[in-house]
Amino acid sequence: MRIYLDHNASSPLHPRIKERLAKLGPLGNPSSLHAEGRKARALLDEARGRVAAWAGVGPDGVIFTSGGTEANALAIHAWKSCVIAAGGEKAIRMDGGSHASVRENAPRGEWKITVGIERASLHLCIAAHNETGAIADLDAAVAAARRDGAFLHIDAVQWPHKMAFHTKLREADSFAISGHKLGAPMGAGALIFSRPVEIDPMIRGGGQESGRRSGTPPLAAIVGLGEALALKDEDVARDRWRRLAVRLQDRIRAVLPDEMTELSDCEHGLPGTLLVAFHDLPGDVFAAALDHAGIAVSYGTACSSGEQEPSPALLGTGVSYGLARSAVRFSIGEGNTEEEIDDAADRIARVHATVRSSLMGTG
Amino acid sequence: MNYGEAVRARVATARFRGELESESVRFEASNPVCGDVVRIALNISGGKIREARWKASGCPPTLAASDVLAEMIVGLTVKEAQAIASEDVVATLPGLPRTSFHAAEVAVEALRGALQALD
Repeated sequence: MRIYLDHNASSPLHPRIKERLAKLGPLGNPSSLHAEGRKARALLDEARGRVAAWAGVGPDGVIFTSGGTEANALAIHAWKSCVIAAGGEKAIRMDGGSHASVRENAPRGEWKITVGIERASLHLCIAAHNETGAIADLDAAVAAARRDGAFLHIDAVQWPHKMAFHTKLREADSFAISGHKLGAPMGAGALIFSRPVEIDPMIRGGGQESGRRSGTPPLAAIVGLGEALALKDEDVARDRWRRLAVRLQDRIRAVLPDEMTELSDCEHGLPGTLLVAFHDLPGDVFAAALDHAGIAVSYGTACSSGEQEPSPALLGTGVSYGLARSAVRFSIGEGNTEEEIDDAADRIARVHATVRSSLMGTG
Repeated sequence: MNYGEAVRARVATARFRGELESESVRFEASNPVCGDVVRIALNISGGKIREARWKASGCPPTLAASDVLAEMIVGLTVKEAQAIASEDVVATLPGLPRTSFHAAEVAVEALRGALQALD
């Protein structure tokens, strides 16, 4: 039996969402005027309303995108234009562990980018780190942006469901979310503005999303996103995910006490997120072996052109190169059980022994 | 990177990993570009490779290629083993990305080095 422990990458379709999508029936284009189109428009409006209600903003504060990456990119594009239009200093302050969708969409050239406490006209904050599960101090992020008179965008892709809504998200100028992290289909995310704002679109051509993001909306994915955010807190088992992560950590530690370093605080960080460096075991090697053993996990390394480099987002949090190179992330979510966690811990210990004895310098 | 199931299976099971209790020769080869290292140890008698074991430092394809190679050479004569090329290893690892073919090359280099060291 396979054990899926990669919910921070993508969470399988939630049963409630699956049920809703199965009942949708044939859909037209929401921009079409016929009955099928009108039905699609109604579904789109309903989903927008649900996202807006969850966020506590007006429906026009929600721009649907293809996912979290586009939402982050659009926010940076929009606020960059606003800084330029206002004649502000071309300076961005971002968190060291920012996701690639933030890091790589930040403007270059004459823009100054800092990860410290220097003043900047655009602040980019990651609410919950996808790898370490570290939770940002959103009060401090909002206060810092206000002090600087800066725009604040928050990458909140990992936040919904795993954390209760935080009003400081709404006090930022914008924040990004993604549907498939919440058990909705892949293909929809949202950029949420706390107040009505005119933005310079990145994608033009159809005038959808009030001209702010053209392109026919992925309706089923958007309906799923709306459905996910309409789930009540009691329908989201975040406390159980946290307990399961702690259980997994305890069980791994019991069998490999001297072979691991925890890089996450799964008792207090993002529920369900456990990041462990297995000493001297390259993360990609261990993750590949675990995959064969039936456990889906994530590792922060990429092997391109024969080189394995640790995740820049993880290195940006201050984790050493050696630990980042050996880091494997387990992320627990909807559907995971105690039996699965115990089974996973047994398999991890077994695979660890095999891989360790394959590697030079490991005895 | 998606290495393919054959690579993942080899890394997870790695039947020929480790050390030999009695070895005739061992050799360590490295890829100067990516830094991967393969050490192969052989037990040879009567002109035949009786046992082979390996240890490596590198990416999953390097570990998998080492294990495949070790399995291939057990039972071969030294001459037959000398004829093995990295393409032979690649052929037994379906799904291995082209960018990872270096893994087979460094494993075969370790084998050739070991066989040369016999002379």
